Amino acid sequence: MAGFRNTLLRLFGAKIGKGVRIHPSVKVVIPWNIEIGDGVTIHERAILYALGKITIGSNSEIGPLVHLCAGTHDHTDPVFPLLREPITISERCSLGAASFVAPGTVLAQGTILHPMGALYSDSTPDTQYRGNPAKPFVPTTDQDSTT
Amino acid sequence: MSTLCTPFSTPAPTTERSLRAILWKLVSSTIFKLLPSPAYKPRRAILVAFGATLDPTTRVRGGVKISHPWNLVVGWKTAIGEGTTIYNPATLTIGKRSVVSQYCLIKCVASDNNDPSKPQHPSPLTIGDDVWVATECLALGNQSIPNGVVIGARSLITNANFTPWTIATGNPAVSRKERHYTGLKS
Repeated sequence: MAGFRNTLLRLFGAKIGKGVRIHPSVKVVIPWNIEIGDGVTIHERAILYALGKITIGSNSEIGPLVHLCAGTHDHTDPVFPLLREPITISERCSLGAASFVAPGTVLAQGTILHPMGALYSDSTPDTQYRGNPAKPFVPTTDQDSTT
Repeated sequence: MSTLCTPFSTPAPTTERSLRAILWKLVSSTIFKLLPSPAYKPRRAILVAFGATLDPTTRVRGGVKISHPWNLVVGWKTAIGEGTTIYNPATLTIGKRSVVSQYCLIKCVASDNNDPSKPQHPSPLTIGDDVWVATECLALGNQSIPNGVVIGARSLITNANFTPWTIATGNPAVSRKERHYTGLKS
C-alpha cells in the first residue's frame, strides 16, 4: 500500500522518488510542499508540518514520532504573522524517534539526530547530535555509537 | 476539597461533580471530538456550558483534549492550537493575546518526590499575557509564566523562573535572550 499512498501524495502535488515508504499514520499538513528523494522511509506517527517547503534527500530515514516543523511566527510583531521557513534534510540523514527539527534548519549530509533531540540550528556533515537543544557529540563507547 | 488525586487514593466525588464528569467524558469523546477545526463557536459553547470561563474571542482549535473544562480560564484573543492536551484537575489560567501552539502537553499537576504515597497532586498553572508556548512543549503545574515570554518548541516547563519578555528554550526551559517586541508591552 506504500505505492498507493505515494501516488495519492503525488496527486496532491508532492514530489516523491522511487522506493519511498511512508507509514499510514504519518501526518502531512500540506502535501504540495514536500519533496522526497529515493529510498526514504518515514516511520509511524511522524508529523510533516509542511507550511514551508520540506525537502528530504535520498536514503534518509525519519524515525517514528518525529516532528518536522516548517512554520513559525514573528514574535517581535504584535500581529504575530506566519513565517513559512523551509526545512532541508540532505542525503543519508537519520532522525531518531521523537526528534524535532526547527523551522529554517538545514541538515547536512549524513547527520544523525539522536532520539528526542531537538535541532534548532544548521548541522555539519557526518555529525551526531543529541539533547535539547541538540549539540554535536562524538560517541566514545560502543553503547553510544548504536543509534 | 481534598488536594489528593492519585490512582490509589482518589477522593469520592460528590454526585453533581461525578455526573458532570461522566457527561463531559461522553460529550468530549463524541461531539467535541468530531467538530471540525474551524468550528470555534460550537466548541466554545460546549466548553462554556461545562463551566469554562472563555472570552468570546478565544479560539480553541480541533483535536484539543481538555480533562476538566470547569477549571479552564482563557483570556482575550488567546488561541489554543490543534491537538493540545490539557489535563487540569487544578485551575489553568491563560492571559490575553497568548498562544499555545499545536501538540502541547499542559499538565496542572505537581510532583512531590518526598512523599512516595502521593507522587502527583493537582496544582494550578498560570500563563500570563502575550505568552507564546511553542509546539510540543510540556508544562507542569505549581508555577506561573510571566508576561511576554516565548517558550521555544519542545521545551520542558517546570519550576519556571523566567524573566518577563525573554525567549526561553531547552530541557528544562531557561530564559536565554531578550525578546524584541515592537508592540506595546503590557
